[in-house]
Amino acid sequence: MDSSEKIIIVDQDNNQQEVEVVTYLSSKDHKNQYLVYTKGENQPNGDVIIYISKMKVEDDKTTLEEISDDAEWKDVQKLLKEIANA
Amino acid sequence: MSYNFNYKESINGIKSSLFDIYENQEIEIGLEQNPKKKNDRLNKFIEIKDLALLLIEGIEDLYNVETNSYQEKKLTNPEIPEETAESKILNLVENSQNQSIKEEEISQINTKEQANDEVTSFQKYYLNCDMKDVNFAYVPKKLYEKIKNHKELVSTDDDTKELVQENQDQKTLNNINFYKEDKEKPRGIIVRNDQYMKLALSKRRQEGVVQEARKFHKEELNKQRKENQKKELEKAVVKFDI
Repeated sequence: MDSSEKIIIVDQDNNQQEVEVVTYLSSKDHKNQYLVYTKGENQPNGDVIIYISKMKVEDDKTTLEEISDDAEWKDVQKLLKEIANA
Repeated sequence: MSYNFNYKESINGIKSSLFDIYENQEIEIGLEQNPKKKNDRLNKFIEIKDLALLLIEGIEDLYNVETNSYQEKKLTNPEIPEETAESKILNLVENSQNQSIKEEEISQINTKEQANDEVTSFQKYYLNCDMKDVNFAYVPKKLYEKIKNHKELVSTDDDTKELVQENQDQKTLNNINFYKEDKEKPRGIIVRNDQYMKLALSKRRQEGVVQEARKFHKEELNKQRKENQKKELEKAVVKFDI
């Protein structure tokens, strides 16, 4: 299968965490893009925990913003379902 | 069979071809728009992959890796003949068709496959001319390491070599750094393994979707900016006339 893509998330305290990219999402209106990733937290039954953050690219720097709006979170889950349940 | 038959070369050729087929299928499945077709294709792909692993294991059972020749299987108990590789393949294929492969057998197949990977492992190598990382080939790991090292070397001086390597690593690190804008925790959900696989398979296609979306959004913003500028200019012209 495809080789995994690892990235480093740097927080505001300069702490770094390596995570694995699962996929990307784009909102229907093309305005927002999201990063879907895992921290390797696999459950005993095989289920996987995935995290979703909003991505912004400015001047070759990519920033992540957490989804605080519930309506936006619902839209993101719909985007995920379209792919995961296809 | 030819006297000069080379088992190792043959089996490596089979593995290499299978890897090519797997990668092509991943892309094809990722590009499939129809949800039902995609699901059917994915299931079929998994089934075929399992059969391919069984086939390779069966062939490897026939040959001795050390001597690169056909090996006779010794019977441990003359009264109860040991299962031959051929009958093993037939049994496992029949089981797979009945969807009742034992977990033990799958574990053994996977273990053997991993062991063989250590002996003849392949690495995916993306062609430099392809910026979208679509065109790639599987090359033996040793060759991959040689190519990688050749690209990184710019000087024969050891100190410079190390410095270049550090800069390369730092550049790579910077390129894959994502910076958090806030102190909030990310939202997470739990997905089943099959859902996770579908999401993972979608990555290449989604990369394209995201790029297109960004491009579209940028074009829309530029278009809006130009329209606003035009309106402002018209207003300015009107004022000047007065």
